Amino acid sequence: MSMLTQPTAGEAVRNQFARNLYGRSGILGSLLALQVIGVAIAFFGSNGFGTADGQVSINVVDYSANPVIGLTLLWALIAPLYLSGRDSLRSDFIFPGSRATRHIGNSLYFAALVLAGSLTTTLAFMASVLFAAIPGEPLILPGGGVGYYVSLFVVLSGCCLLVASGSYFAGTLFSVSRFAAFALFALVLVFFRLLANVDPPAILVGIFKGPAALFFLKTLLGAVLFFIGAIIAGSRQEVKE
Amino acid sequence: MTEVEFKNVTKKYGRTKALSGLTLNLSGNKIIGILGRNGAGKSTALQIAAGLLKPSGGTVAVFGENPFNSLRISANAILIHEGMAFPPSLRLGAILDEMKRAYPRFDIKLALSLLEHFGIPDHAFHVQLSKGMKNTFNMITGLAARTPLLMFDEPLNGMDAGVRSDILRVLLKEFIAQPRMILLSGHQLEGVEDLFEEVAIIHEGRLLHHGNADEFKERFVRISGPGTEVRRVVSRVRALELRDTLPGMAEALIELPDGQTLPESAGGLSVSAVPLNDAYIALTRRKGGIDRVYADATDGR
Repeated sequence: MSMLTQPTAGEAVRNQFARNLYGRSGILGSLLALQVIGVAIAFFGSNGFGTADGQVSINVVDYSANPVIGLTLLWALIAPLYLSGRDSLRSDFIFPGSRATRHIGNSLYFAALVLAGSLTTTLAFMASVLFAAIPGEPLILPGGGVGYYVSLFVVLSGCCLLVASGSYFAGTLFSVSRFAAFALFALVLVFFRLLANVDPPAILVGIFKGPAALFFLKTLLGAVLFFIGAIIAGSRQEVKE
Repeated sequence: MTEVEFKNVTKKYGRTKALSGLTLNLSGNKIIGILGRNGAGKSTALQIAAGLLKPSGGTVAVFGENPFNSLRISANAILIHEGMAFPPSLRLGAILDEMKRAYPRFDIKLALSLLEHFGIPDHAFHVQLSKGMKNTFNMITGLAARTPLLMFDEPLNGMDAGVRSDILRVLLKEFIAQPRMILLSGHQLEGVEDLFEEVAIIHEGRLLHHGNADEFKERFVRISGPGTEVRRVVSRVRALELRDTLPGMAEALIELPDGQTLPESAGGLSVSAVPLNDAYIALTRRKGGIDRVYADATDGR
């Protein structure tokens, strides 16, 4: 048995992606569960405003899929922490692969899940219109037609991707070196403190301002940078018992 | 070709040194025992060879390549150990499918047959298995993976005698059918030592001995008989153990110089071979042994 197997990086990435899909069904399951909870919350709607006098009574109920959006973003924040943790690392290194192929496989997996999650959120948003129709009350539809929903999908995908990649980077850094992770966190706080006089939210809004497609490109770039950061941070990571 | 090469390798965990200048070359399709006491550095050495850990100093080469972060080495070497964490949501059957996809030579038919023989249900989850069953399953995956370098770290822990004996038979059959380098580390060697062609003894992070297993065993003999006779022999050779047994009688484990043998019943002494387990334990035992430690601690009370 002297013949050595010559694996390719592509195969290792594909296997990592597939293993995440089949072997970590809890990640996808938690996304679906949170979205179902979000839809259930959205079904009851929220009271916008109401008024009544002797003649007329007006009660406006706001049906939207905002809870689904919120919970999807929450998932994008939490799920990558699990995948970048030490347990997942130990499990991944039973199978052939390098640290780089592992991170690339994980990044592609999250990208796919984020797109799927954003699509279902957009569909839930569209479906929330039906919630208003069920009680048979007069309905005010959101304007913008198909373009509105496409923009929603694109913007939500960008946001989730950015949050997921940032969380994956933070998780990787934390599992490599807690000191480095806290140091980076402190550095970010100092950065924002320094920017306190120039209104950091305004700067962030300025960076991501623009049409939906441009917004998506900017968030995609940010996500790619975070994932590259995770690959670099994790390139010397040891698999400890 | 040297399959595994350690050159002056050190590994530190904080202030603790796990390896302190390990130099070891292993080559050929053989079953090699990596022996040593607890904390000797066996597991660390194997984890470094598998590319899981990065050495703090020195160089390591597996199939001529640094194993850390090597895709090629990860596909050609597998380390089986007690703490293997398979994907928790996969059942055992699905884990085997996953192994089949990852390792091109993985023999799923063999793995499933062994699973059935050892009574491990393929629909169970890995976390549900007992310690012995987990280690049996882990060993099955390692054997079926058929990688050119197969490493086992304390693989037999928790297995009952029947399972132990059967799995070792499978290991030998697999080695004969598909010769490869198999490294077996451990300190409980009952039933395993006859498989070793070579042994490498690691002690306090360094290589203490590396060579042919039978020659190593033959270097050590146990002598027993009248105390004066035993002490006379001991004064001429290196004694690893010496203790009084019955009044006027003594027993010693001695290391013979190269090429020298003691005839059986020499000078009224009884001479017997020493199992590999006893030989390496005696070789790595601290001077005076546990009796001295206890006597010192209790001031001879």
